[in-house]
Amino acid sequence: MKRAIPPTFGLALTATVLLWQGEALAQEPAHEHAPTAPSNEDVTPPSVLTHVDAQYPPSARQARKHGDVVLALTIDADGHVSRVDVFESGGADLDEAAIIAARQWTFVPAKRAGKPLASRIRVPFHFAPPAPPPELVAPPKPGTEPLLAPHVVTTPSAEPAGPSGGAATPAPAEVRVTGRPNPPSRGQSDFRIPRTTLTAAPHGSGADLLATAPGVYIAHPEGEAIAQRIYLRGFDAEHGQDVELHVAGIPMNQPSHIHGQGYADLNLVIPETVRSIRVIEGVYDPRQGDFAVAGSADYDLGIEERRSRVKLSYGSFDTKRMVAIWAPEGQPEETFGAANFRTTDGFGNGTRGGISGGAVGQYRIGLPYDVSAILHVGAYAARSNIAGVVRRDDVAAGRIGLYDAYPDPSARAQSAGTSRTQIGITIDRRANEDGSRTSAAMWFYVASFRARTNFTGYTQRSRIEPTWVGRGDLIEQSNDDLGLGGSLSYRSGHLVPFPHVAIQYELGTDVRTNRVQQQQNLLQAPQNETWDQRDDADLRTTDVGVFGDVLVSGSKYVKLRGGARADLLFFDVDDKLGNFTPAFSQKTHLPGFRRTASGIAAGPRATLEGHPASWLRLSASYGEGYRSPQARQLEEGEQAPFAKVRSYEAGATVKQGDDLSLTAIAYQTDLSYDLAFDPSEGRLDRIGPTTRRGLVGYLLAAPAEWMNVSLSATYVHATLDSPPTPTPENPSPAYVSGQSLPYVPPLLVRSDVAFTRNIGTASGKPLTWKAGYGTTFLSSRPLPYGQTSPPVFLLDATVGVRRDWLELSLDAFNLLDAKYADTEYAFVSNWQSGAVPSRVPARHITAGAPRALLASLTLYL
Amino acid sequence: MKPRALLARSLVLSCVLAFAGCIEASQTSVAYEAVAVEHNGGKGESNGWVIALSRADVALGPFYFCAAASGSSTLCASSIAEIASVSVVNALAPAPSPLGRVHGFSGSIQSVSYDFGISWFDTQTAATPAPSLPGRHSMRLEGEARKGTVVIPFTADVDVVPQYQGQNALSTAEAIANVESSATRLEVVLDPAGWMKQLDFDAIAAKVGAKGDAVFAIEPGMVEHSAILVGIKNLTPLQFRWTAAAP
Repeated sequence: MKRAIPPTFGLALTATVLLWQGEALAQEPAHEHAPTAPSNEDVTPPSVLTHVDAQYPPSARQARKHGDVVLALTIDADGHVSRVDVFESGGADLDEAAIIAARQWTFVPAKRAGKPLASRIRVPFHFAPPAPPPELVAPPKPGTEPLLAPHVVTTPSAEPAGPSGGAATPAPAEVRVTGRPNPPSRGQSDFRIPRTTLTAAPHGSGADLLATAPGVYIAHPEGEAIAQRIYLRGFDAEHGQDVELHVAGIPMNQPSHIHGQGYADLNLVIPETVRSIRVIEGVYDPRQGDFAVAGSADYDLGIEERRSRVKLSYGSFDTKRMVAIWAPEGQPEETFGAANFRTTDGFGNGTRGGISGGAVGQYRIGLPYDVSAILHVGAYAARSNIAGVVRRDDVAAGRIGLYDAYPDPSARAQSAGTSRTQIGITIDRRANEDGSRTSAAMWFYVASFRARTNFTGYTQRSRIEPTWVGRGDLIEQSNDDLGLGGSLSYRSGHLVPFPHVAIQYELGTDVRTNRVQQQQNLLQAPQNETWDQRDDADLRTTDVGVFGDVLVSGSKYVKLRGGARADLLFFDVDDKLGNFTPAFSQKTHLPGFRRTASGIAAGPRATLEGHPASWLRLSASYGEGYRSPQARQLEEGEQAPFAKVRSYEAGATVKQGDDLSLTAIAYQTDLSYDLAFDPSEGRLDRIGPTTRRGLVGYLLAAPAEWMNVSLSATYVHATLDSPPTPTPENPSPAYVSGQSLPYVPPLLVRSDVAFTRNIGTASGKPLTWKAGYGTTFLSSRPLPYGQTSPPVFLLDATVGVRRDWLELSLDAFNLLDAKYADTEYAFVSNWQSGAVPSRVPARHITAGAPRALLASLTLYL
Repeated sequence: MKPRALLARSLVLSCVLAFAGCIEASQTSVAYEAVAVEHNGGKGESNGWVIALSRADVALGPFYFCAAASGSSTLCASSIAEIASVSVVNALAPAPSPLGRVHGFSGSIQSVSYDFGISWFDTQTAATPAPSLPGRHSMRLEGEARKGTVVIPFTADVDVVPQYQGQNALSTAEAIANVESSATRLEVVLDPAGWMKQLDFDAIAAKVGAKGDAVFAIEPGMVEHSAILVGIKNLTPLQFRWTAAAP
């Protein structure tokens, strides 16, 4: 696939393509006037498959030259541009820029009766000088991927498509190339991961795609029905507590979730439908809201290749997967439907089996007055067994295998089931001539969660009946969440208050409200009798956020963008077990504690960017963000104690042409209080303030037309800044200044390399092979008590070949069959593996998956 | 500078800096030897009776050391160190008897909870003696008490049983230390003769005289057994001393 040229300085390309339907040539593409086709009533016009934006020529920049160029493109039956003619000239430099771009476009060829044929279309380019400030001007501004969804949305034709040629020029039918807005960059840590990188290596889930971003590692310690665990630039973000996640504009984080604050299950995402991911590492965008502590990630969904398809896969551990995608030609990339189903026995001794499935559909509608809307519907459900943790000492002594689960009934009763259905609509009024833009969105979701996990074996004592003990620490958690929200924003046109100074501002609000019912009990396996109740609460939370964002452009060399955000959060808690009277005390009241609390979190965010040379971009950013507290932990009238985060970074990006760029970043993140996993309760508890300092190197390269490379290295020194919170059993926790945060790998190196090449033809059709791999290196991780985990190196690879409608591929996960711990913990457990139980915290692990192969057959329809 | 040269230099610099960090930890794993040490040579005196033990086989363990002042399992579910085994020692031996190794982490210790070979773990439905126990009792004591010309030979099979499921026989006791490294040795000091001081040997002498028994045998359930337990748990509990390990 051809790569799009990222914009340099504000090329405003009018997003219109005029399809010269009447010139569809059936036989003689080189002879425009050859009347060879009797009729083109049944001709399907060509649609853009990949496109490259024209670059505003530097020679025209000085004169701030405006211009229009109309090219006539001849597209052969293979979809390639075989000839370019200048139909209307805008000047030599603009013509050349347009021709360079257009020659790189590829198309789904025009078709008659389903057979491809050569055609000729007319494509206008409108060149405008880099408007100050160009990024906010965006009608769709490309990043590293084509951001203009390159395909035909409407093909109105005033005339019936007739045979091409003839002296008379047939009336062109206007088709509009639509695109998605590309938000302005927020510093060097604003990464846009294109699909080229996302598809280089195989990924088992939508969450795994995040691993392609610098400094991100994804683990799945609790099976397929519990959300992934995210490590991002020194943050153990657990299931999403420190990363704000959006899919198609719909927030995925669930506030005050029983399994962890900000729980966000990305399993809803079908990997094949992800067009790109924007990952901001840090808090520099006023749009980043709750949970944007380590950063945020936005999944952009779309299907580039407009062909419906069915993909059938079978692989290790009796894994079966089916994906069906509907992506009709002539529709925008955002319009698609996809469904997938998956079953697996899982690795190990039969305790990781799971069934999952989901569907995602979007439809983009064009409305009058330059308004477009995208309807989004998504649903996902899964149930899986969970193997749980094993003690390192048991594994080392051979008492249990690395991939096994304890034979105990309480261990074998671990499972999870989850579902989520979400609906959203985004309405966008495209930028006017002055660059103004209005957007609105609404969304709604219903999510259920039920998990039974046992991390500690047999250590718990009932709080209801304190004499009940040793019945198994099988924690049952349930969380039913109903979320409703929306957003509204307005971006102004360009204001020029002073010569050489341009200002553009944006004001916006986003709101959400949640109704959550949650419980936590202890169960006794195998009958799963409830023997203790830990939590039973109804929560109502509301978040009203407002932000302002301003771009000040002093010259073409310097830009300052930033603003502020404030959120009002309100909590209403009906804690049904609050004020609980234990059995040994005389009852003086009935259990129950209802309370309300609220608070405001506010902070600035800003990025200063400089372009001292065409190949160099410098920036420095600062931002303050927050994470809301777990509602159940709040007291009556408490000013909600937000976790406050401060992010700093400075960096530089060096580019050489379009084939090489290197970004270097130095960063620091301060967090007022962190959260850590408490295995005895199966959820997150507070620890003290923390700091992360580090460096990032990020290389993007295309050393050959058929090869793309993404390589990142992230170093972090994560420290705890004050002694841990005292507990009854440890009133004065040990602490040394600069104490390392456990579980955070100091060095994470990730590479994604993709190869795509035509290798000839078979029966007249081109054969294309594709290969790629992704590697992940985690350095030795510090663990509690001065221990360290061994380093991990993982290799995933894929290879495939495609001929027209048939594609065969083979994916290998953990190709080197590394035996490693996906996650590590240190806590007290009693799995009865010794005569005398230990009460000293011990290392526990969840095993990473061994080598797995998955063969796939894809049929394109 | 050319972009490619700058790229290369930046890459090298990044790699150098990336490995410049270090890992700081507040606690480290420790493991060191524990021994039982006899105190007073098995001799003691109470109300004019001179007690002399000729045999004292005592089961000790497991031991759980806690950073908090209370080592109770309900207040200290997570120990800082432990001896997760049961040893039967000759409490009269002049040389220290090995108790196994202490495994845990560096840091402050303030309390301990422990058993005398009979434990009632969370997962057990009743208090259960360790398989290695002599006669399935916590201890077997033999000796005599002498007052003038009156000599009472006695034996005592003592069971030190946890009171509740999930608790230790001695749920919490003071044990103060700050262990910084594995170059440490733990000495558990026993005074079995001291445990016998709670016995009312005048009353026992009367019983012996009435029954005509040659040896007074103390068994669980007897008043004398309860008196010994008071000595074990309250009056003469084990003492814990941490010393530097011999090089």
